[in-house]
Amino acid sequence: MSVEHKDTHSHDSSHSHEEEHGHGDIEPVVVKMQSLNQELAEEMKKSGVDCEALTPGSHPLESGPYYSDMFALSPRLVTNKGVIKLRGRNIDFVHVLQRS
Amino acid sequence: MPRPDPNPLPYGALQYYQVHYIIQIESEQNHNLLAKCEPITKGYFGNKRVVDVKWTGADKFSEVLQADGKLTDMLKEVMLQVGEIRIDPQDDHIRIYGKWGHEENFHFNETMLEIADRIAMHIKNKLKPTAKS
Repeated sequence: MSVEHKDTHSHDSSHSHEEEHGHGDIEPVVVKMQSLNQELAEEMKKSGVDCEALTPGSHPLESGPYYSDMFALSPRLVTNKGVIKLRGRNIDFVHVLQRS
Repeated sequence: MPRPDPNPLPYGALQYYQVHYIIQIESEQNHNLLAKCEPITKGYFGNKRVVDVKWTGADKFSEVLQADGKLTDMLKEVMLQVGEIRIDPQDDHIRIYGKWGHEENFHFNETMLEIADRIAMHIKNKLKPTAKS
């Protein structure tokens, strides 16, 4: 989970300016919470990939087994971090996992 | 850049991530597509470079991937970072993934997406006649 912090304090805090716009010294601080798949989807969009981050836990791929166990030493304990749906490509989804 | 925790917990999720590229296709031949790509390298440490890649698999599908020159060129670019690429088929979908990466190296890799997309193209060409719609 990443946090985007936007602090928009104005340096021009003259009295007349405050009266004009009707607000004080403290301006709102915007905190934007992002899950890992949303963060990756934004990076992909910047590179020109048509994609959409799905809500974590909303797709059946997230509940099923993540490995077929046909390879030796496949991990047993992993945490689902969400799915991204791709459009206009041979790949249908991108799934992010964290090791436990 | 994330700051490393000076007192990490001895349990719970680790700081390692993996990205799976998934093709949703259902076919009786899915399990014949099991394959793995490993780099053939020369040199050590800073001089280490990938000179070729080797596909191994259960069926002739690995030969199709080995014969694709453009795919091999793209793989040579990323195999030092990715380490190994596996094609892991399941009943209703097929997963393509590399090794686990530390969170400080976790970012979108455009070349890896292009590689996965090209492998997916070969998979669809092979399975399209038998795939269940």
